Amino acid sequence: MNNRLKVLRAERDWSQAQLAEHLGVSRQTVNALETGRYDPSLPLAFKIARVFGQPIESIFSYDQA
Amino acid sequence: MRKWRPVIKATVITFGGGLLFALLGGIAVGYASSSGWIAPEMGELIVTAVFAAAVMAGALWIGAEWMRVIDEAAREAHKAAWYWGGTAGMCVSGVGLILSSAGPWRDIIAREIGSGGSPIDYVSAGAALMIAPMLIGYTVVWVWWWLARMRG
Repeated sequence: MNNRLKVLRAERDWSQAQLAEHLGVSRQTVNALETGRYDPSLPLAFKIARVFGQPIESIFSYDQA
Repeated sequence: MRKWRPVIKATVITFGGGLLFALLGGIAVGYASSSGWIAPEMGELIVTAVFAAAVMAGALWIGAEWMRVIDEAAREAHKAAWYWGGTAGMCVSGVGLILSSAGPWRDIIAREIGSGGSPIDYVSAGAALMIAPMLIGYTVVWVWWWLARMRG
């Protein structure tokens, strides 16, 4: 799974800790999400979409290769 | 810090209540046995059993509150650790169970590990040998999961 979290966060000039606070998760979890080492649950994906004001499919994409 | 309040509350009630119960229970058993109402060993057994069951139930409560507080990635780490670590630990314990339950090799094993102790020692050792590999497996998998995903 790929995502644009890092780009979207940078556009808002947020730190990982600030994004973590918006999402109600730890900074380590945000880091794991950004580096693709952890895929979020559906509720967390919806929360991320709401925080950035974008649909889920514009943030996350599934790489079948 | 406020979000940890339910965990702290459960911990204080469990261990504080446990210690208070042990103290009052000990006094009650001492009084009851000196008055001849109950054998001292039976009183101690009842108090210790209730204490152990209450503390274990409290530990479960602390765990439940703690699981509610941590985020989903941390919960996933513990789920993976419980399943893979716990299962792997059970497989190790399973080897011991099979070897110690039947077969002519039981005598060989018994000779090698010695034959001292009473049956209750074997019950205690058996319980510990079931729990220890599961705990070790849990810890190993949790550390692996955490380092693989959450470093940095």
